[in-house]
Amino acid sequence: MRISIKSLFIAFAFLFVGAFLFAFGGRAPQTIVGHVKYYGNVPFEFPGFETVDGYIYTIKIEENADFSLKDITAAQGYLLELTGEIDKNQKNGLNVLKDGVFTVSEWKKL
Amino acid sequence: MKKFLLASAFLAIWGFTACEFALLDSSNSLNSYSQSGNLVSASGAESASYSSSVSPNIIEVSPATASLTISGLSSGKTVWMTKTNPSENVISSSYTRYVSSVSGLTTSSGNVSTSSSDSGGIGWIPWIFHNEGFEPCVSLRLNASLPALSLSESRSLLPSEALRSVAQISPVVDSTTKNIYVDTNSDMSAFAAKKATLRASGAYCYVWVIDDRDFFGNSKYWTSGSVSKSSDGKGGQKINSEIAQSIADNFDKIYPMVRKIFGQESDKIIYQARIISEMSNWSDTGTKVNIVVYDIGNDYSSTSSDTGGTVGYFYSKDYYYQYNNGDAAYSNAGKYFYIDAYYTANETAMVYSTLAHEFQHMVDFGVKTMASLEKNTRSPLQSSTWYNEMKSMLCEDIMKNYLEEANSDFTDDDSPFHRFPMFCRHYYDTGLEYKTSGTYDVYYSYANNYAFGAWAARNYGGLSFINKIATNNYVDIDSITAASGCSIEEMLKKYTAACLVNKEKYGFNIALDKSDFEENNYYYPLDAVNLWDLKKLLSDSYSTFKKNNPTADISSYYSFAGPVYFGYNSQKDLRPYSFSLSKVGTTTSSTITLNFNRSNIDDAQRTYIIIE
Repeated sequence: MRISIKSLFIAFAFLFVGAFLFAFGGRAPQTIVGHVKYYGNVPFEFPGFETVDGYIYTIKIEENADFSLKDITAAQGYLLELTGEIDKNQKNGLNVLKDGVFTVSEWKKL
Repeated sequence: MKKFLLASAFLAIWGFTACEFALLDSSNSLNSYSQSGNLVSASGAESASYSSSVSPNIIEVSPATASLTISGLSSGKTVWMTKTNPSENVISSSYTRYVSSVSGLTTSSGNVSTSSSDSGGIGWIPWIFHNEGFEPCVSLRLNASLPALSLSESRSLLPSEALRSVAQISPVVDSTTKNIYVDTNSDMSAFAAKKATLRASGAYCYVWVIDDRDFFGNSKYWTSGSVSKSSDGKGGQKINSEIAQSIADNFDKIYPMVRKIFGQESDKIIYQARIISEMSNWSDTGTKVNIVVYDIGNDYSSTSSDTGGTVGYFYSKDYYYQYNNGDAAYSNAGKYFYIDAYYTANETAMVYSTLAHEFQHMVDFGVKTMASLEKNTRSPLQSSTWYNEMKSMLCEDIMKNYLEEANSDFTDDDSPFHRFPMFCRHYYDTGLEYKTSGTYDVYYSYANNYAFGAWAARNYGGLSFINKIATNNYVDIDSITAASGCSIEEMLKKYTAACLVNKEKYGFNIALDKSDFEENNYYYPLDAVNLWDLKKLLSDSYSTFKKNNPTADISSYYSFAGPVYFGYNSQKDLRPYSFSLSKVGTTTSSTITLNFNRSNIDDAQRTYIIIE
C-alpha cells in the first residue's frame, strides 16, 4: 500500500484541527422544541421540558439571561423552541429529569 | 402537599364571581394565537337522529361540518355543545368552534361570561411571617458521625451490609431525640437542622415533634397538658401525647391500606454518586416512616385568623444521601414527611387525610422513579406534578369512608370533595396540567385534576383503575389511558357529558360500594358525587366560613348548580386536555339545525352535541 506524503499531511492537519476544536471550542448550543411541564410534588415542584421527540429535561436559565424562568413557564401549553446547553452529568440527581439539565440561553414561542 | 384551601377557596370564588363581568379577557395574554392542529374550513352538511333509547345522545361534529341537522326530537329538550382539546397545545379561542345560527330551538346564553378568567382582582388573606430563632445549620449534617465516604460510581465498591455504620435509634417515646432538617422560611427554600423528640411510635412510623422554644423558653409545638382546638385560625399549635399517638395510630392503619392499592414505597436510598443502596444501611430510623410535626413554612401567627398554609408535604430529597449540593444536602436520609403543627392541633381529622395524601407521594416516588432507577433503566419514570397530585387526592378519596368511620369528627369537608365547587366554577381555566402562571391557577389545577381522576375512577373500574395507574409502567396521560383502555380523546368526550347530565348512577354520581381489594376488612368504597347538590355535600365548610366571615356574601359560590356553562356562540381558549361547556338552547321543534362557524377551525379540537 502506498500512502503519499500529501495524504498523510492532510490527515494530520484534520486531526490537529479537530483536537484543537475539541479542546478549546466549547459545546455548540443546541435547540430543542417541546412543552413546559411541572414535575415533582407540591411544594417542591420544578419546571421541566418535554421535547416533541420524547426527551425530558429539567430547565434552568443561563446566568445573565435577560429573561426569567417564570417567563418561560408562563408559556406553558404552547410549543416552544429553546436554545442552550444540555448537561447530562447531573442525571439522576435530585429534581433532575431523565435526560439531564437544559440551560436555556434563548427561547421563543413557535 | 395538601393546601388547606377551604377558606381561601371561598374568598377566591366569591371575589371572582363578584367582579367577573368587570374583568377583561386575558385568555390571549401572550399576545398571539395558538393552535394545536391544522386550521381548516367547514362546508359540509351532516344529519343525525336523536334516539330516546340512548342516554345521553352524544353526536360528534367533525371539523369539516358547517351545519348539523338533528331529527327525532321533541320540544323542550336542552341541547348542549362541548368542546375538548385532547392535545398538549393551547387552542386559542379564535380557532374554536361555536354555533353561529340555529333553527328549531331558542338559543341560550351562559351562566358565566367568557370574560371570566384568572386575572386576579381580589385580595388574598395575607401570609404572616415571623422569624424564629432557629439554628442556621447549613454546615451541620445530620448523622454527622458517619464516616467520610469516597465518591464512586462503581457498584462494585458498594459498602457491604457488614460495614453498615449507621446506628439505628432506640425509640423511647418522650426521650429519644435526633436532629432533623426542616424548612424554615415561607417559600420553603431554606432548611436547618433542629432537635426533635420522639412523641409517638407506631408499627410503621415514628412521630417526631420539633423542639422549638418561644421567647420564654416554652415548647412551641408540645404540651403535656390538654389542647383546646379551634378551626377559626386562632388556635394554638401545640399538640399533646394523645394527638401524637392518634397520628401514629391512624398512619399505622392507613399504611397497609394505601400500599395495597398504590404499591410500596422504596426501601432503597440514592447514595452518593447515584448508587442505589439499602435504606437501612444509611438511615438511623431504618425503613420506618418518620412524621415530623412543626410550623411548616414558618407562617403561624397567634393573632391572625389566617388558616391558609401548607398542611403537609413529602420531599424526595430525603431519599438522597451524601449529596453536597442543592436541597439534597439537607436530606434526612430516610422515609420522611412533614405535618404542620397548627393543623395537627386544630384540624386533626383533616391531617389524617393528609397522611394518606403525602404517603401516596412517597409511594409514587418509589413505584415510578426509584423502581426504574433500581432497574438501571436509561429513562427513569418521573411523574408530572398534576398526575402525582391527582393520585394523592384519589388516595384521600378511597380512604374517605375509612377515616369517616374511624374518626367521628371527619367529614366530607376534610376530604378532597371540598374541591368540587371550585372545579364547577373554574374547570375551563386549566386542563390536565399543573399551572402556576395565574394567581389562583394552582388551586384550579388541584380541583380539575382531582375531578378528572374522581370521575375516571368511578367510570373505568374503580379501585382497579386506580391500582393500574399507580402501578403501571407509565406516567401521566399514558398511564391513565393504559389503565382505562380508552384514548384520552374518548375519555374527555365522556367526561364532558358527565359534567352536563345530572342523573343517578351516571358520571360522577356513581357509588362503588365494594371493590375487589380488601385490607383490614375495608373494601375501599367510593361515594357518589352529585355536582348539582354540593351545598348539601359541603354544608360544614359553608356554615363554618359563614360563621367566621358573617359579612361576606358567598351565596354565589353555591348559586351554580353543577359546572358553569357558556352561551351558544361563545369562544374560550382551550387549555391542554381541557374542555368547555356551552348551552346551545332548548328545542321548539322535532328537527333542529345548528350552523357552525366555518373558517379558522383548529382540527385538533373535538366538538360534541349532547342531548339528554
